[in-house]
Amino acid sequence: MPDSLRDLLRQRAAESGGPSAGLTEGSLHKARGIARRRFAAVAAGAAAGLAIAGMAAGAIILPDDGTAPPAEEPTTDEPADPTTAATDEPDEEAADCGRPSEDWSGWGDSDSIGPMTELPQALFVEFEWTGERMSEVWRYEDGGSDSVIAAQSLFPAPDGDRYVIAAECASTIGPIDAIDDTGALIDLGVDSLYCAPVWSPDSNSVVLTVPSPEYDERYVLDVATGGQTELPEEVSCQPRWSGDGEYLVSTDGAVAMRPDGTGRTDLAGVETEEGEFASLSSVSADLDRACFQIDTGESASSGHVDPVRCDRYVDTATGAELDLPGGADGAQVVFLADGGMIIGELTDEGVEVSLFDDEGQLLDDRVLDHRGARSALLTGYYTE
Amino acid sequence: MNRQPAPPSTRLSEFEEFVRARSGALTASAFLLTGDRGLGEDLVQEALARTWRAWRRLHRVENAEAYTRRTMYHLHVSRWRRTKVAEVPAEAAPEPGEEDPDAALRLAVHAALLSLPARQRAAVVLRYFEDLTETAAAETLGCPVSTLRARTQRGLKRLRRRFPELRLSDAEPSGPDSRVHPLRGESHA
Repeated sequence: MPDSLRDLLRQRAAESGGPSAGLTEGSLHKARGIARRRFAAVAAGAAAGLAIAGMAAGAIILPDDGTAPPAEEPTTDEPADPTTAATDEPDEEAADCGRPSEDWSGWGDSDSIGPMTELPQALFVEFEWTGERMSEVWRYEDGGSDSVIAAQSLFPAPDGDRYVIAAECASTIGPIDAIDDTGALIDLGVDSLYCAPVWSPDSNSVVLTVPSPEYDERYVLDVATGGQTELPEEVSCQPRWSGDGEYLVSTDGAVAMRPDGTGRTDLAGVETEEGEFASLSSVSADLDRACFQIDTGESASSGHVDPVRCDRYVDTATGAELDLPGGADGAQVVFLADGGMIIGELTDEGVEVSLFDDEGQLLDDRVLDHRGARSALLTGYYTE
Repeated sequence: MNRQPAPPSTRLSEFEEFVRARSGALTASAFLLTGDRGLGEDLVQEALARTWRAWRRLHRVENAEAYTRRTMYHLHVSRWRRTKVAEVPAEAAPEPGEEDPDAALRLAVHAALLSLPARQRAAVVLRYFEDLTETAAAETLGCPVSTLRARTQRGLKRLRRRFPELRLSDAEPSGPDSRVHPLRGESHA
């Protein structure tokens, strides 16, 4: 009887039966699909700019994540003829998913972050509906609301003005305030397949990842100036910014450092039970408090997590669990630069948004129409 | 300086040969990661598609293998990969039985492996099936060695808890610097 893990894994792997005969043809077929999706993404990016320009009520449709074939693609899984596949040479330019040109000088300061004593007039909420593949951002202002943009894999900045729309090898990024420029949404050529873009609180920077054969290149793109800063490897995939944007914290909540690697600080992280999967969703400006989303089961174990919930609110020095102001549970917590926090919660009544000061006193609250959504996420709050 | 790229037909032949030579090992790893032959092959195919698109700049088969493997593991743990893996809850795994105890144990251990978080699972497969060093495994997953080590230890701890009789100590893979070539795998093809 085999009793070593290595022997067992090898014997079990041998039971897989080996690859099928059509693996090469299938791979070439998929490679062509990737090329077409890239083209579609760029085209849709321009359309997105136009849609934003008019603050259109209608949603734009951006390319899917590759799970469905392009429209012109046969719907069968018939392998491609290898003789025709030979003409589909690998596109070196497309394969080099990289960075914006260094000539790009950015869009200037968002000038949006600041102290908050009441909720801003304009709030932006991203919704997802059951059965829908796209999410949609709505703006609530002066008692009214309108749809801003809809897409898959949408990452709005806190100012409600700048967006990353992630697509394989063809992410786009754009501000609403460049509405007359059809190039407002630029093709970054970034492959965000592995790690989601993460906006800084001031909406001037976004963490992006360039996968490569040797090692992933993670960097902060300063969209105000076009500058790029390489990130230390220890601040891993999709870190979280501290409430004031000075620090980045690793997704396990264990390490904080400035984007240039200085100020490295060990944090306590969070205690988990067996079977639990904890990921950092937000962290305070002073790094003293953090929120973790706790998941169990396949959705977490396979890495399908973009943490937003505050299932566990902890003291980062000790790991001790704290109580959220107002007794909120499982809500979204946004830590603010001035030490306060915004708590967002989807209830039967709507999207309840509450502003607390740094001592946990309620300053302001508002209830927004939930639009029948399955989930809601406050994305734009530094909007004035 | 201006090295002439290989003509298209040659590059395609090289790629086909690469797939023939390496797909067995890749498929075996993917099967362990996903728990399902079809899903595993789909994972390999996705990784190979990206390899073909990057083929011109990979230049060497060694680069292509590292690239493919790295892509495959990243796809596996990626939150963007919407297809669910064929997870088998550890509680539902068959217990070692009387009729074919070896086969039952293999299934049970595989089920326990599949119940691990994806990154821990990937770390265990890289270290205990692919026999990669800590350094090479960390490079494949794009994480620091310390992180890789922690993931591996957490994964092994869970496996040990469920299968205390499983021998792990003498199965420890080589240390960080004891291998010249970070990738092996031929023996699993």
